[in-house]
Amino acid sequence: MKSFFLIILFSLVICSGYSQQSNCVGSSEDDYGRRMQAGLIGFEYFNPIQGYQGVQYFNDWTKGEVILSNGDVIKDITLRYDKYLDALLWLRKFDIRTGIISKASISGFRLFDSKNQNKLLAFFIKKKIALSRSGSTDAFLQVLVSGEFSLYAYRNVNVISTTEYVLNDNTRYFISFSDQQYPLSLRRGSLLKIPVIKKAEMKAILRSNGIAINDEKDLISAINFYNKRKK
Amino acid sequence: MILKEKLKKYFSLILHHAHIMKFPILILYLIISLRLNAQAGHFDFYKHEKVYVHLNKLVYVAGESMRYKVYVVDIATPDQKPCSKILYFTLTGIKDKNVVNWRINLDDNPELSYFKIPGDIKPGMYILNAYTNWMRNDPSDIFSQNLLILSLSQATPNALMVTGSADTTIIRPVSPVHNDYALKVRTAKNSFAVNEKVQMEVSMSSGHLDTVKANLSISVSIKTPFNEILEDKDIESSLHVSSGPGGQPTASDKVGMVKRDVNVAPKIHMMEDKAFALSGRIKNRKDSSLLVNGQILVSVIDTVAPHIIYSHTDSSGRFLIYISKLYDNKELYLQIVGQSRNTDYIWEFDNKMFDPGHQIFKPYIVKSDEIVFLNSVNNMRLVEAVYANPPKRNSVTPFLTGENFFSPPDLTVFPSDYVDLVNFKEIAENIVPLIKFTMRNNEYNLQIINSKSSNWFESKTLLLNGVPFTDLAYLATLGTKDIRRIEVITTNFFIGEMTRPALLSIYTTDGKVPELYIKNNTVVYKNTVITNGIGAEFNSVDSTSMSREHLPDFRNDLYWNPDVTISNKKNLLIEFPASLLTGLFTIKIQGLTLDGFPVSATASFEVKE
Repeated sequence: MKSFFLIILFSLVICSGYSQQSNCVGSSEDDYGRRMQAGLIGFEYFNPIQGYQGVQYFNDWTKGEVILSNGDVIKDITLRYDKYLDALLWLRKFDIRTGIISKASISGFRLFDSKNQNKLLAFFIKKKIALSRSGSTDAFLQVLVSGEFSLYAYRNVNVISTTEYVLNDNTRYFISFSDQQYPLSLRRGSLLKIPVIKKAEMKAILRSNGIAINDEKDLISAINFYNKRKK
Repeated sequence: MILKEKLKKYFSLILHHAHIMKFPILILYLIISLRLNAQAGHFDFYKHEKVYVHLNKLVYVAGESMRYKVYVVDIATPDQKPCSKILYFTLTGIKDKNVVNWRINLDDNPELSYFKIPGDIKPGMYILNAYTNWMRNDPSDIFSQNLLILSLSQATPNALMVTGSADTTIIRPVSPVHNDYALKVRTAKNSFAVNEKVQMEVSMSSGHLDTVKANLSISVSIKTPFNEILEDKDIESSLHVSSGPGGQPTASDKVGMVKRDVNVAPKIHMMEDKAFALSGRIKNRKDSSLLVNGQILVSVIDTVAPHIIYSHTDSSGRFLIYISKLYDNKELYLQIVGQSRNTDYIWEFDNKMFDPGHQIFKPYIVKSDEIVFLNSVNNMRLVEAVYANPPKRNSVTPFLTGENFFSPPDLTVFPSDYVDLVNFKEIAENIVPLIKFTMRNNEYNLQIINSKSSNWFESKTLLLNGVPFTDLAYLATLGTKDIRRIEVITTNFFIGEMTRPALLSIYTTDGKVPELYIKNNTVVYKNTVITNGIGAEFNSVDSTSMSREHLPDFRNDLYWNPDVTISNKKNLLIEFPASLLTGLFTIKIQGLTLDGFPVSATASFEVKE
C-alpha cells in the first residue's frame, strides 16, 4: 500500500511539473510548430566538400528545436549542423531533402540525442564573433557553460591544403562576459590572460580542484567553478 | 494554487478508481490519461480569459477618437500574462446593425490605444464588444459596453433602440468583491470654478502585503443623464468570478478571483496564443468543390526583405495561416500555386466577429433633459473641432522588416549602372547572363540556369517586389529605368513543399505590382491592426501637458491618463484644468495590481461658474 501511494505521488509530481513548464502550453503549440516547419524557406543543401576525410558534421541527423529570431520555436524537426559551412541543415519531411535554414532568421537551436532518451545533446546560439581581423560575423556557437562567464565553442573545420582532401579541426573557444567575447585556447596560460578573469582567483580554483586545462572538460570545469566562487 | 487544484482533482479520481480497479490497471490508467491530457492540449481547458476595457467616456460624436485601455487576465492564473495574443473589437449599432471592427495585438506594451470613430457613422446606441478568439467559446466572457454615438451631420433620433431587459450583460449590478486591496481617490474640494485647476489624490493600501503596486488608467468626464441605458462597467465586476457557494470568494482566495472555472464545453474557437490565425476554405467557383491539398502562397510587397508564407489546404479544403506581426498593416496577397487566375476560386475567410445571437430590443424615449445634454455634447464637439489645436501625432511606428528569405543571391544586378536598355529582353541579353528571355509563338519565355546541373530551366514564376508574379508580358516592358535591382538564384530553392530549380527576383523603382495583376491573380487581405502603446496615443497621455490650451475650452472629458503606476508607499497627486463646461464630473480609476487583481475607485466633483 505504501509503494502504491509513492508511485501515485511520483506520477502527480511529474504531471504538475509538466503542466507548469509554461502558462501557455496549448493545443496550437504543436500545430503552429508543424506549420512553421512545413513552410520553411531556404536553399537546398549541396555538400561542397564531398569525399573529404574528417568530421564535417557535428551530429548525425537528430531531433531538434529551432529558435526563431522572434522567439518562436519550431519543435520536432530533424537537424544536423555542418561545421564546414557553419550552417544548420534541416531534413524536409515531405521528400527527405536537405535544406539550409537561413542563419538570419534564427537565434539558436537545440539538438537532442535520440539514442539517449532525447537528452540535450547540444545547444547553439547565434553570436557575433571576430574570426578574422576583417571584422565580426554571425556564427553558431555551442554553449558549454552558461552563467556570468559563459563559455562557447565555435565548432569549425577547414581545409588547409586543397590537394590532400582532409578536414582540419578548427574549433575555437570564447569566454563571454557582459556581452563581450574573449577568444582563448585550451591552455592554462590562455585562460589566465583573459582580462575580465581575476588571475589570482582562477589560479586558486585550478590549484584547489586539480585542473590542468588539458582538454575541453577541464576548461568547462574551471569556468563552472569560477562562476560559483564566492565574491 | 494550480498544483493544489491538480492534486485535489487527481486524488479524487484515484480514490474513486481504487475501489473498482486493480492496482496495475490503475497505474496504467493514470499514465495514459496524463499522456492524453498533455497531447490534446488539455491545459487549454483551464484557460479562462476575461477582458475589461476602460474607455475615456461613454458618449462620443462621430469622428472623435475613442481612447481606451485594455485589461486582459486569465482568471485561472491572474498573475501571469494571458496567452492570447490578439484582441478583437466590434462596435455594433443596435438599430441598424452596422458594424465597425478592428483588432490589436496583446503584446508586452500596455494595451492602450485609440480608435477614430468613422465620421459617417449613424447616430444612435452602439455596443462595444472586446474579446479574444478564445472568449468566443463562452460569450459571457466577452466584454460588452453600451455607448452613445452622436453625429454633427445627422440628428440623434428621439427614440433610441436599447437592448431589452432579457439581456443581463447590459445592466448588471456590480457585485461586491471581497479583497484586501483598497484604491481611493479624493479631490481637494467638492466643487471647482471653470478653468480652475482640479487637484486629486489617489492612494492605495493592502491589508496583507507590505508593498503593493498597480497599473491604473484614469478618466475624468462629464456625468451623463443616461444612467438607465449607459451603465458604466467596472473592472472589478467585469473581471471577477465568484467562487464560493454563495458567490462570495473565500478569504484564502486572496485575490477573490483565483478560481479554476473549468469549463469542459467543447472549444470550437482556437486560442490565438502564437499569432493572428487567418483561416477559411477555398471553393471552386463553378461546382463549389473544395480545394483539397492546394498550395497557398502569402506575400506582401517588400523591396528590401521579401518574405513569403507557404501553407496549404487540408483534406477538407480548409487552410490556417499564422500571420506574425511582421505582416501587420500590410496588404497580404494570397495565391494558389498553379492557378494563374484566382477568379476560378472563392476564398471564404472565417469571420471572427462576435455574434451576440438573438437579442431583444426596445425603444427608449429620450427625455427632455437628456436631449439638452446631447445637444450640448454636439455643440461642444463643434466648438472643439473648430478651436482645438490639431493633435500632435507621434511618429508612426515603422513597419517591421524581417530577414530577406531569398538571400544571398548568386547574382545581383543594378541596371542603373549600365547604359539605357529599353526592355527586359535587352536587359537579359546584355547585363544578366544567367537568364534567357525570349519570345516564341507570341509567348514570352523565361529561362534561368541552375548552376549545379548546368541546365536551363523554364521559369513561369518570378518575384516582382516580393510578390510571386507570372505576367511575363508585363516583365517584357520593363527597361533599365524601371528596374532598381535584379537578383538571380541559380540553385535549388525550397519554398515549403515546393522546390524551384532557380529564382528571379525583380525590384522596380516604383515598388509596385500592377493593379490588374493583383485583381486577377491574387486575393487581397487587408491586415489592419491598431497600434498599441503610448506611441499610438496622441494628445492623450496627460491633459495638463496637452496642447489643449485654446479658447474657448469646452471639453467634456477633462483628463485621460491610461498608464499610471501607483504603490501603497506613495500617493499620486494629479492636477488638471477644468474647462468652461459646468456640471458634474466623474473620476473613474481602474487598474490591476501586479498580481492581477482588479482595483477601482470613483469620485465626483462639480464645476461651477
